[in-house]
Amino acid sequence: MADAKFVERAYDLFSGTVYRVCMMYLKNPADAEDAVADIFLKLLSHPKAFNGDDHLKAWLIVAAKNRCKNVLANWWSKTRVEFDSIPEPAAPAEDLTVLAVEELPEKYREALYLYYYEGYTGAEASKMLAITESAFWSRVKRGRELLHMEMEEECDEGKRVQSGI
Amino acid sequence: MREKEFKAVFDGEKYVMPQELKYRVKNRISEITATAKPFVKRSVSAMASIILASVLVVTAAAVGGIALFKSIYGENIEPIMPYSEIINTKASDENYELTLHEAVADEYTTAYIFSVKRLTVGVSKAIDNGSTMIFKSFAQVNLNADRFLEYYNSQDNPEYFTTFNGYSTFENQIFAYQQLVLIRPNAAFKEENDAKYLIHAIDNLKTEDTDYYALYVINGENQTLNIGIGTCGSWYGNFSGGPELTLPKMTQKAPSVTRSVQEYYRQYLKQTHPTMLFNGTRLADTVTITPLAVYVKSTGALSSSGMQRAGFMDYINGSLYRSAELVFGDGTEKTLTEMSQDEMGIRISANTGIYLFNEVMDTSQVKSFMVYDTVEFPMDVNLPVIDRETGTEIVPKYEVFDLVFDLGNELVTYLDGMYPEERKEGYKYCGSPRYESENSCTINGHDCMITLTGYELNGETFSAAADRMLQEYFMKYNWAVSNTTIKDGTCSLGNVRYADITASILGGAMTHTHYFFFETGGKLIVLQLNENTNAWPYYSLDALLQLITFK
Repeated sequence: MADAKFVERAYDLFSGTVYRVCMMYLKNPADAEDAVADIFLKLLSHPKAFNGDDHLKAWLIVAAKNRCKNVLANWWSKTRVEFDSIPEPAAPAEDLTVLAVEELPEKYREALYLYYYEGYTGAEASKMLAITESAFWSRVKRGRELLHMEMEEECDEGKRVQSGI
Repeated sequence: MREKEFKAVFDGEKYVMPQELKYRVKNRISEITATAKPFVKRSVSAMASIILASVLVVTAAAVGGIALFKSIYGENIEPIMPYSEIINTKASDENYELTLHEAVADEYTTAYIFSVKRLTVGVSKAIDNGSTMIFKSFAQVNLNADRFLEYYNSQDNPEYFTTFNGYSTFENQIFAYQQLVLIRPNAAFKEENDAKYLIHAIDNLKTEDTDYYALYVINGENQTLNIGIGTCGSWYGNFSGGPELTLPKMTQKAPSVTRSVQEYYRQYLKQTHPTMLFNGTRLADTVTITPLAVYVKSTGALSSSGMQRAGFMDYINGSLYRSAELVFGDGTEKTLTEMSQDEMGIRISANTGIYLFNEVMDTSQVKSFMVYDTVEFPMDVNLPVIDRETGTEIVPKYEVFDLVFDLGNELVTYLDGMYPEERKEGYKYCGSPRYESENSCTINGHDCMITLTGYELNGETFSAAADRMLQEYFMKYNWAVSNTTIKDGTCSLGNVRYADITASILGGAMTHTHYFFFETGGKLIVLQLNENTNAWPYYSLDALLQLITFK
């Protein structure tokens, strides 16, 4: 079982990564904060030693993914309306790139994230996602296609607005 | 989008952990790690001795009248006495005493009453003040004042325990939110398991140190099932076993009465509320009444529309059966909701809903089952089904409407099965056919929109009717047709004529419209497929063409 010092070191090294994963799923800082805390507490009771920091990081990413999916499956998170999530009037336009990535279905987003952002190989990422490698690659491919398509649709929509159609 | 743009999203302000948040979380973790205690996992031999002890006590259990079920059903529990059993098995550790008191069963459900007694002062205090003690989660998860909790073979937890981080030893445990656990010692919790598990706090039995609960195992548990208590901390995986008991199987089952209802329902609704047939609601096939509950079963999946989701459970609060009633021999009528615990029905599987009674029902007194205050199904199947409002007998007939409805549902199932992911992308997809008119429905997917329309042939030949209708379409829609391809073939329904028409409407771009004319049972079905813009490839068209053998 891990001790407090080990958890502290892991936190210093990887809290940013875990937070990023949590934000990717939960999309709000308050829930992500709770999730990050829970995941590092979970690490405290992990029964086995890790084979280095890479193993530790992979474990944290998967734990974060599972934790977030549990949160999202929970009734409360499905039905409540966060005060912060109520859109403000005349909100400034958001970055289309961020919107496009956020609107990507979860399974494609997580595959792209692990591959392009975290730099895992197909074999590593597929193991983390508990899918076959071929399924992983098809998600990456499909995710890329969808991102491309969504950006195009956004642009088309903009052109239509501009041209008054 | 380029790769660096994708990466930049996750380096952006939104995804980078703010420094103050980082310190805040670190402080939270430090506070808890400073007081954390190592968890202790009970050895296999210790577990075995607990379970063995409880089995031995079951053997010596007293036989006699049950009493605790009166706390749920009231004083009149005579009808279930022959099918009930006093168990009184106990298991304990230094903190808790778990007692299984009584059980009763019908064909589909076994209900158990058990209690948890807190044995130490420290435990009791912790329950009042702590955040991790036993059954604290009940207060947290008792949603919306609904007393039921569902301890469900969850879609969420198994992945966690089995895929990555070495908790496979927990595979046979069905985890509750916190500390109450159902365990299948001889099988993984997902293995051939259609059972549902509901927990219900019994407040009127509660004492200062003991809480009572009813556990309902519904749809049959085909494995040995244990109930246990453990401490978990804030994570499921830290479970360490406490007292544990095996839930005995009941051999005596209270009798039930089953009534087939679907064809009558359909006949009534297609004459009065046809849209209800198409809005995703699946009509019940059968209604089964037992002394403990009413079960509503359907071959199709019960719709999630009209359901209120709480935890992993769907309450039936807006569906067909909200107005359902039982009519008794003495002339009294009671709605299922008023007869049910929490005044709610619950969807326990894709095709089964259940109303657990708050009083024991004497099924011999039930004369009929009624919906909408007007359609009355006598439990005696030899008696006619009556629409009270009009005073007429409802006699099922298979008409064009039925053919369109059935084909529409079959087609959705077929297309979803062929291309499950692709068809469901985007907002256009609808998981069931939509009602358009008394002889027509639409089926929407990502790639196309399909319109199904049915007609009586009325003596006209199939090919003549198809040709006539095509000409009518040309005129009706004022198409400038550039190309028409017509092919004849057969499929499982019978003869098919397929027309692929390339045409411009009002001078616009050329579009493809596909028509399939089917002849079946003396009726003509016209399937019109319109390709959605920019939705290529057209999976549904491909799937339809696969059904046909062209000449």
